[in-house]
Amino acid sequence: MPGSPRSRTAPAGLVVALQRLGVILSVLWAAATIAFVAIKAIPGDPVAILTGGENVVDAAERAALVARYGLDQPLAVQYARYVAHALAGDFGQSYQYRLPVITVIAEAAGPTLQLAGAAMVLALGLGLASALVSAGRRGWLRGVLSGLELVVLSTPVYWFGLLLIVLFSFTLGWFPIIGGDGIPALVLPAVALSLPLAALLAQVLRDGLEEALAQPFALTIRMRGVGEAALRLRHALRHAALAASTLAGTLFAGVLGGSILTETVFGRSGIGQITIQAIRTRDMPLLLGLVMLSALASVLINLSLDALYRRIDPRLRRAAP
Amino acid sequence: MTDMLAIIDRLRPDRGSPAPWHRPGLLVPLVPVLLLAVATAAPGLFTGLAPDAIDTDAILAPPGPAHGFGTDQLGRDVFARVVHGTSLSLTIGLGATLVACAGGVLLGLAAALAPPVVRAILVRLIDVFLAFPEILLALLVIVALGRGPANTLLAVGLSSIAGYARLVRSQVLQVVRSGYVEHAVALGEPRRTIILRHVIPNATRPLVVVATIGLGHAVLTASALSFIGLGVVPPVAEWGALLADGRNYLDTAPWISVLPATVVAVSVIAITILGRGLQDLLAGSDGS
Amino acid sequence: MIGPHRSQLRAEGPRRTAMTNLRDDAPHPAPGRPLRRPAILGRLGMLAAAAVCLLGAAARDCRADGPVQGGTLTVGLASDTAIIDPSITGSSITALITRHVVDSLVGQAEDKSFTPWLAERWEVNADNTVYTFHLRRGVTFSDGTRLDAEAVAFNINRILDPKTTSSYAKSLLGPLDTVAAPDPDTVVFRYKQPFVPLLQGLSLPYLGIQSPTYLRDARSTTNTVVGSGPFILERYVKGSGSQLVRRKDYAWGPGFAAHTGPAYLDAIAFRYLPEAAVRLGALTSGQIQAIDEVPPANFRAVQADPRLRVVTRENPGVNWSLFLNTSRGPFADIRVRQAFQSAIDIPPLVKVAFFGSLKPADNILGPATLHYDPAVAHSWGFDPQRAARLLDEAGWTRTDPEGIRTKAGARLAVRFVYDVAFSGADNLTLVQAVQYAVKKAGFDLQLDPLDAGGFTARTAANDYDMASIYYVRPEPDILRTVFHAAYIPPNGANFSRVTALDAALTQAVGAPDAVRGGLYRQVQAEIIGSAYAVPLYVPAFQLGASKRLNGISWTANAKPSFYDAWLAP
Repeated sequence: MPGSPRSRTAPAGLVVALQRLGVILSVLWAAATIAFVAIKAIPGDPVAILTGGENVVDAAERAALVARYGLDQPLAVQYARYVAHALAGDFGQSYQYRLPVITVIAEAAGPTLQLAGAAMVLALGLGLASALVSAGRRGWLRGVLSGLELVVLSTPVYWFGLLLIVLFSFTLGWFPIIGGDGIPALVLPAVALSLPLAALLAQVLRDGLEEALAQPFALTIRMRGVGEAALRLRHALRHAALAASTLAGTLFAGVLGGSILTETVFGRSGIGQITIQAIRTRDMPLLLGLVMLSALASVLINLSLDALYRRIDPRLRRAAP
Repeated sequence: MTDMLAIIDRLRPDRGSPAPWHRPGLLVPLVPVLLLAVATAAPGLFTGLAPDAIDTDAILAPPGPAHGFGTDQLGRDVFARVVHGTSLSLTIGLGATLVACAGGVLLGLAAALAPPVVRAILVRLIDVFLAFPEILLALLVIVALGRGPANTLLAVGLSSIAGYARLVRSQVLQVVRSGYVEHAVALGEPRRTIILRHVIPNATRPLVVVATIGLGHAVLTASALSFIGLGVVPPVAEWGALLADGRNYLDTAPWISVLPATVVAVSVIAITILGRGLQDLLAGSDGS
Repeated sequence: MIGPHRSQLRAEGPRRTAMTNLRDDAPHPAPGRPLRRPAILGRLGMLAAAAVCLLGAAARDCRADGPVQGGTLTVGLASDTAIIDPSITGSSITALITRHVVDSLVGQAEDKSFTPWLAERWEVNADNTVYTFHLRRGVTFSDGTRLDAEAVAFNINRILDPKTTSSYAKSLLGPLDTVAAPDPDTVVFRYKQPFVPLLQGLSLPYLGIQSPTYLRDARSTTNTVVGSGPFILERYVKGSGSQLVRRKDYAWGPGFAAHTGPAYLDAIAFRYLPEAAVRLGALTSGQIQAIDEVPPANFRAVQADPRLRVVTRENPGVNWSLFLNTSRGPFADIRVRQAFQSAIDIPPLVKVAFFGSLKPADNILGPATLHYDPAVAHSWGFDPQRAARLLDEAGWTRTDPEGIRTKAGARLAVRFVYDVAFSGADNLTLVQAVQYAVKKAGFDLQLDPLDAGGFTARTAANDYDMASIYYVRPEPDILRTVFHAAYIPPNGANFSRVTALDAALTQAVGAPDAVRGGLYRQVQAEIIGSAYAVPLYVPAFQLGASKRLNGISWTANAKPSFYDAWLAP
């Protein structure tokens, strides 16, 4: 269960909305502050990034750059300025790309969303399929599937991606990895990214299914003469879905973290690549922007999940008067 | 890490459907785990070769009688590097897991028992950190502290605190809602005593199991750091570094990475199965 | 275009007659459409030989038939670039890509001679302070803007403007005083003190001329470039690559090119493929036609592949070297530096690390650099006795149980700092081999891997004993960037923190050629003699390519140009 105070009484929508806005803002502020402190604690020279690569610059030019980006101000001033701008949605200019942070992130978001979306769909499909056919059954199929899941979860993702490329693209020639933005070139990276997620989902869904199938209602339904497939699909899955939905945050992180490695291995552009570049080059504005946006995304996901729970799970609805 | 925790989070003791790998009990995974322990304590028992001895006459030699796992691009014995890497990788994995557990218990308790406003924010912060890829958090810690085995350990540990914190928090809430805490409250026991005597011991019990499984995951995260190029310092042999180095020779000398990767996967699987076995064992003793 | 001809450089280049046929008679196939279908070949009116080629002869036989119009060339690159505007970055990837998008005032052929390009001719006054360029007429940018003297002056003044934050491009201009456009066809560069390397700088894409209309209107130039080159940058995506399409009305190639007029290729796609195994696999499986940085371990395999070849060009400029920090620590003592230099048997180590695909260095400059002095090679080398003697003299007389020398209780430990992202796996292999080698002489060489930010911080704080870098430039003035006191970190890459060469390097910038040669010989001898640096190998551009790809030409800075290139069917 994601931790959110559920016993809260909610008299009016407005109060709830205000409360939640307060939570969002304080989380964002905390995330921004932690990120700011962390980044300032990291040694690094932003001017080297600003001058681009070969790093030949005279002292006067260096001073001008430092002044222009406000790097000569006291830390408190830099912090205040940053938070004020960030709350207004202005994350400043990336040192490395010399473009507004928002622009850089927006450009990178496209390919990552494509990859993440495809991987999510695949992961859900594979995970569901594996759980549905094997839950509550003892036999070789379940053994093989759970064994495979365990192997996938125990193998480094990046290494797995490389093996997929060598096997399916270079040796068998089934899928190109070059080919721009076409669907065929998306297959292998999406598979590489989705397998660990699918394995995770399958295990959790199987647990949920088995729990549901063991409950008295399953027996009642079976006695009514409903087929096993229908029982699983219509009734038990609903229970399992509730269990799996607590994984949303984990999946989000899994896709984001996995995309860093996947994008590197497959040479794709996207959020993962710019994040790793931002860390490496101390591109503070970009990094702060990325932290803030992913914090925002995760807060929003969790809030909407809370709302969703109340709809799916009647017990929670009853709990709230 | 969070992946594993999420599974465990779902695996409650009352669930009784042993997967096939549970049937051999703890014996099968114990064998590789014992081997790992020996390799960690006394690598010399497995190999007489030094992990960093360069031999320019035996570059990229395939596996054979002289070199069981072959040699790498500098003629170093891959098996010796794997064996000596075991010690470092497992130490990093264990240390990171301990750091994560300790941090997770503190944060999880606070997120369950602090005043409501602090609690709400802590809960959301844990959510935020859960949604932020561990590998990125670990990278940030590495660039802040610098590289080296100790810092890799810290980075991996710190980055997985959130997962443990969430688990501890949900356990605490369960315990608090359980009958005997209500009973203790009714008996008028002071809050501090209740927390120390009842809540903490009960809430942290499942951590043993989770930490076993988390250990395997910590090893994987440390290896991902090496892949990105920010793991241990060369020429130190560490599992992740071996995989990362070997990937450039995937077609000319696959043994440099395939054999270590197999060792890593088998180790992680063995540790995970051991953890799940423990889980079942504890569940059984709870039930009786 | 009346550039001098060097046919020996174009052994694989297309013949002019076939090309003329192509250009005059043939309609150009639509851009972006790969030319694999016989129909298009037919339309091109190829000679009978081409028909033989179609009937299934090996690609090698087809090459003799001359260039073929059309097709998309996909090139896999090991590195990415953050900024595509060549005037505000020093990225060599940006240079490689934009070489096809922007034209330069002058070209530099592989033999280092200068050829006309946007400037038909030029004059330099006797003391190298006034350069007058006479521009070619009728040149336009791809956005339709005319390329005239005003446009050139606008570009140069933009680079000089501090607001542009140009650093490498600006450094190539040296102490430029003014640039003027007295009439639409004439540009005059004026210096207050003599400056010789201007022509070489102008020949590089960093000082390529971009459309002033575009530059004035653009809110940011980091994402695109508009030039007058044979290709138009259609799309640049960070972390992914760049897509270039042919400009159909291009009629002004550089003097060193094999042909004039539009390029043969319809399009070039540069793809960022950082994983060596992936880059190589994409080439061997035929998904792409060329890669940079052929992995050394696969060098021979690629050479042996009947469908592939490796084309290598040794880099001119500063070799890949270890720069020893002369300002602090053990290396402040010249004897310790010389001992370190003598402790390494470089050729076998380089052979191991690069599988024999690269040459060991024998001097700070690569042999392809102007004023490279071959005599320096005989002044240094592997000499373990000398190393031991020098360390004894310097007081490092004791040895600890691990075999490391000590002095007053301190171990002879030296830290090598490097940026992981820019030090390829093979360099790391080499350094580990060096580490193992110098240990025998009693040095504890410690690797200190950092990321870009950490590296700049450490070098700026003078907290290191050794760092490495190499520079590609045929002009020996590059030594100033690496050994002049003005470029001690954080202002540049003088990692040795040398100040003793300032006078000679400054004088050489403006001296007449005869004097320059002497000055640079003296500087090279001094760098090796005082062991400011230990050069390890001569870096090279190693292009792995399909044999279908023909007509690659090379610029003086060892970068391939695909203007003359064509893909056999």
